[in-house]
Amino acid sequence: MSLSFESRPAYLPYREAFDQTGRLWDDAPAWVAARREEAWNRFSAVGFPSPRDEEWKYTPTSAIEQTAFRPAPETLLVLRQVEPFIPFGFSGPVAVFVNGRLQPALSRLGGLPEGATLVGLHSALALWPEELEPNLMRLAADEDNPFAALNGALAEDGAYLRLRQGIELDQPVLLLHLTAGNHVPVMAHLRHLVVAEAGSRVTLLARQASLGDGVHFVDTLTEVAVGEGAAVDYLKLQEESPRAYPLAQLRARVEKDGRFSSRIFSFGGQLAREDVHVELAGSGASCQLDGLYLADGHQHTDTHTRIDHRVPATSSRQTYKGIVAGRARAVFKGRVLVERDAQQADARQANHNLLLSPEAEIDTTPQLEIYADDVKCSHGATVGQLDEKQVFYLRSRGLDDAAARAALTYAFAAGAMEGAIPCVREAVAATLLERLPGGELAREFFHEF
Amino acid sequence: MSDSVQQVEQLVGQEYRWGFVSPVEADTVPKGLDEDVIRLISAKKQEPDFLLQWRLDAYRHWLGLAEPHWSSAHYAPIDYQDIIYYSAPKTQDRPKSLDEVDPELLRTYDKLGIPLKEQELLAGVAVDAVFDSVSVATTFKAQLKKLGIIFCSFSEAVREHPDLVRQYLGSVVPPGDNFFATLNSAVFSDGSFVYVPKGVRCPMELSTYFRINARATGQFERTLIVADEGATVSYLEGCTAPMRDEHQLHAAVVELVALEGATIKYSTVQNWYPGDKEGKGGIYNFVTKRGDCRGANSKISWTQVETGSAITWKYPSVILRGDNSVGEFYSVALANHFQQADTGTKMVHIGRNTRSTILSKGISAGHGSNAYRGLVKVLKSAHGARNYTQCDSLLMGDRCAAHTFPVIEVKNPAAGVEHEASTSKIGEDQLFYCKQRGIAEEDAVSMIVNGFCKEVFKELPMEFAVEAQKLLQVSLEGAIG
Repeated sequence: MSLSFESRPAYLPYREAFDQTGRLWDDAPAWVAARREEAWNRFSAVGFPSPRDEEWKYTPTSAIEQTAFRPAPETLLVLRQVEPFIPFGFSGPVAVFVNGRLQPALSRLGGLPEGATLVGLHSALALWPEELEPNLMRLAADEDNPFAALNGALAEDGAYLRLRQGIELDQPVLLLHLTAGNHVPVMAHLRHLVVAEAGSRVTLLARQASLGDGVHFVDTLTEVAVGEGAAVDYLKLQEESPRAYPLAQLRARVEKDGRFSSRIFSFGGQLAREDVHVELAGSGASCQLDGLYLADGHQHTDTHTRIDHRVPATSSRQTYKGIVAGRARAVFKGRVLVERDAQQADARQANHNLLLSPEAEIDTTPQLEIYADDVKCSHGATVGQLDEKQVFYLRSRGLDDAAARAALTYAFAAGAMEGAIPCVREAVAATLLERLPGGELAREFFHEF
Repeated sequence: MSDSVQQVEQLVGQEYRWGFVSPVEADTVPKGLDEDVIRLISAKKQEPDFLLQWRLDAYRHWLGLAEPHWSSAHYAPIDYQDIIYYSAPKTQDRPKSLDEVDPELLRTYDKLGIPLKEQELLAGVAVDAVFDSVSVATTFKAQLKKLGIIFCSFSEAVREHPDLVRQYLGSVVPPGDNFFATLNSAVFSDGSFVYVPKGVRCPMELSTYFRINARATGQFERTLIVADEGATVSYLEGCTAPMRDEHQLHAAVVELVALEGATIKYSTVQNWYPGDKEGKGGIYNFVTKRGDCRGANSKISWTQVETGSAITWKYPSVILRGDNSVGEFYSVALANHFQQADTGTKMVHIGRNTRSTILSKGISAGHGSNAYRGLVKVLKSAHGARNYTQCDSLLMGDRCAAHTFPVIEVKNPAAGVEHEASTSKIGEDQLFYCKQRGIAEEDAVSMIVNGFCKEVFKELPMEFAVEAQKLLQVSLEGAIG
C-alpha cells in the first residue's frame, strides 16, 4: 500500500500551516481548538484522496498535493480592486474576504434589519460562542471528504450569517472571496456558517475569483442550517483563474417544511470541484440544486451532489448542465439516498451535457439508493452535441458557424440562468458569451446584450 | 373467485419446486484447490497440454488476486479450500443416444420440466444439458452438423476442435480478467461450445440447462460461442439448483464472439436456489459474461431474467469494436426475501456508429436488494455512437432496497448518450383498479409485474417467456400483504 500521509513530502507544509493558523484562533473558546485538532487528525490519517477512492476516481488531486502551497499572506486591497466583483447595482450587505481573511474596511456588514447579523467568524465567536457551538464545524462533521477535514483544520476565517425567527431579508447577502498572489503558490481556507432560524428567509450570493494569475488553492466550506419553515437560496459564481484550484463544499441541513436551493455556476480553475450535500431532516423539507459548469482549455471541473432523504415526505429536484470544450474534462456525480422509512420521498435529478470537442471528456454518474418503498424517484443523464439542423437553420439566417454554435450553446445554458437574480444572470451571460468562440457575434444576435 | 383463491393458496404453498437431489453416483475430486487438483481435472478430461498450461497460468495468477468486495452485496467469506472443484456423474462410457443415459438423470430433467425426449420430438430445441460438470447428452447434433454448426460440450470441443478453442478461448474474457473469471479459468469443468460457420443461420434455438446437483460443489462452467461472418445464432440458458442450507458458489464465464455481420442472441433464465425466507442458503452467482462485436455490422444481444440465487453479481457486457455494431441488454432482476442482485451491463463503444440499448427492470420485495450497475463508455474512436439506457425499479415492501449506479464516460463529441431511471412503488391505483374488477391481489400484483417486465420478456424466445412469467409469479409469492 501507499505510504501514510505523515511520511509524505506534502505533510510538513500542511502541518506547519495547521500550527500557524492555530494562532488565529487563540482567543476562540476551547471547543474550537478541540474541533480543529479533531479535523487535523482526520485529515492527517487519510491525507489526500487516492485515485482508488470512488469519490475521486475521475478527479486526481495529485497536482494539489505536489504543489508546495503556503498559507496566503494577509493582503490589503483598496476598494477600487474589489468593486469590479460587486455586481453592478448591488446595494445589499457585503462581506469581502481576501486570501482567506475578512476585510472589514471593504465590507458592508451593517445595515441589516434587527434580528439579522452578518459578521466575521472571529467576532462571532467572541460575541456569541454558545450560539455557534451547536453548528460550527458540526453540520459537516460527518463528511468523509478529506478536504472537509482539511478545511476544519486550516480555516482562517469566514462569515457568520444568522437570521432570527421570522426575519426575511429582501436583499441578497454577498460573500466575496478574492485570492491574490503571483509568485508563490498560496492556499486559503474559508469556512462560512449560515443559521436561518424558523420562518426566516435569505438569499446568499457567493462569488469567488482570483486577482492576478497566480497558482492558488482555495478550499471553501459553507455550513447552512435551515430552520423550520425557513428558506435559504444560495447562489454561487466561481470565476477563478485557469491556474487556480478551487474546491468547495456546501453542506445544508433542512428542518421541517424548510426549503433550500443552490445554484452554482462553476467556470474557473484548472481543477474545480463543488460538493453539495443536503440533508432533508424534517418532514416537508425540500431542496432544489441546480448548476452550470463550463470547462475548456485544460480545465477539469467536478460536481458531486448528495441528497439524504432522511424522514418521510421530503422532496428534491436537481438540474445540472455542463458545457465541455477544448481538452477539458467534466465530472458529475449525483447521489440521492432515501433512507429506510423515509416514505413519500419525491426526488428528481437531471444532468445534461454538451460535449463540444473531440479532446474533451464527460463522466457522469447519477445514483439512486433507495431503502423505502413508497417513493417517486428518477434521474436522467444525457451527453450530446449541438443539433446540426439547428446550426444549419441559424446559418441560413446569416450567422456564421461559430456564432450559430455560440448562440445554441448559450440557449442550452440559458435554462440554468433563469430565475437567478438579475445581476448574477448578467454576469453569467457575459462570461458565457466571452468564453464561447463566436460569442461576440452571438451577443449581437441576441440584441438584448 | 374461489378458483382464484385456491390458486393463490396453491401459489403460496409453493416453495422452491426444483429443490430435489438426484441420487446419482458422482465421480468427484477431493475438496480444495491446488495445482494437483487442476492437473487432475485436466487429466480426467483428457485435455491437451496447452489447456493445462492455460489453467495453471490462470491459477498462479489467481493466487495473487484478492477477492473483490466493491459490490453492495453482503455475504459470509467464501472458503475456496472447502469446495469440490470437479464432480461428474459416473458413467461407463459416453452415451451415444438418449436411451443410454442414466434414467435417474433423465427423471431429474423431467422434474425440471425439460424432458429431453419430448423436447427432441416436439419442441425442436437442441439441448446441451450440463449435469454438474459434464455434459450428459447433446441432442439434435446430427442435424446441426449438416450445416457445419458445432454445438457440443466444452470438453468435447477441446478434444475435437482444439484449434477453434485455442483461437477463441480467453479472447473476450482473458484468464486474468477478474478474481472469479480467473478462478473459473483455472478450474472450469465443462460448458457449451458453439461455432456457427460463415453465412449460416442456425435453424433452431440452442439451449443448455445447467444444474448444480452434488453437495458442496461449485459450478464453474465456461461457454464459448463464436458466430463467424454473417452467421446468426440464438442461445438459451436456464439454471436451477437443489435446495441446500449452505451456500454454493457458481462462477461461470461466458464468451461471445461475433465476427463481421454476425448476430448472437443470448438469453438466460436464472433460477438458482435463492435461499429460504430467512436468507439461509442459496447460490452465490458470480458470473462474468462478455460479448465481443469484433466485426463490422455485428450484433450481440443479452436478455436475462434473474429470479434465483442468494446473490447475483454479473454484468453481461458488449465490446462494440466493429463499426456499426450493435449491443443490447434486456434484463429483469427480482430480489425477494433476502436475495441480493447486483447486475447491469457494460457497453464499450470503440467502433464508429456503434449503438447500444440497455433496458433494465429491477423488482425488489421483502428484504431483497436490487442494484443496477452499468457503464456506458464511448471512446474517442466511436464517432456517431449512440446509447439509450432505461432502468426502472419497482418496490414492494418497506424493507427492500433498490439502487441505480450508472456510469457514463464519453470522449467523442459526436456521440449521443441518454440515461433515464425511475424508482417507484407498485402502483396503488393500478392494484385498486384490478381488485375493484374482482381480481385477487396476488394475481393483480403478478399482472402488474408482468406488465412492468413486458418489454424485456418480449425479447425472450417464446417458451422462455412463458417460463419467465411463471417464475416471476412463484418467486414473488408472499411479497404482498
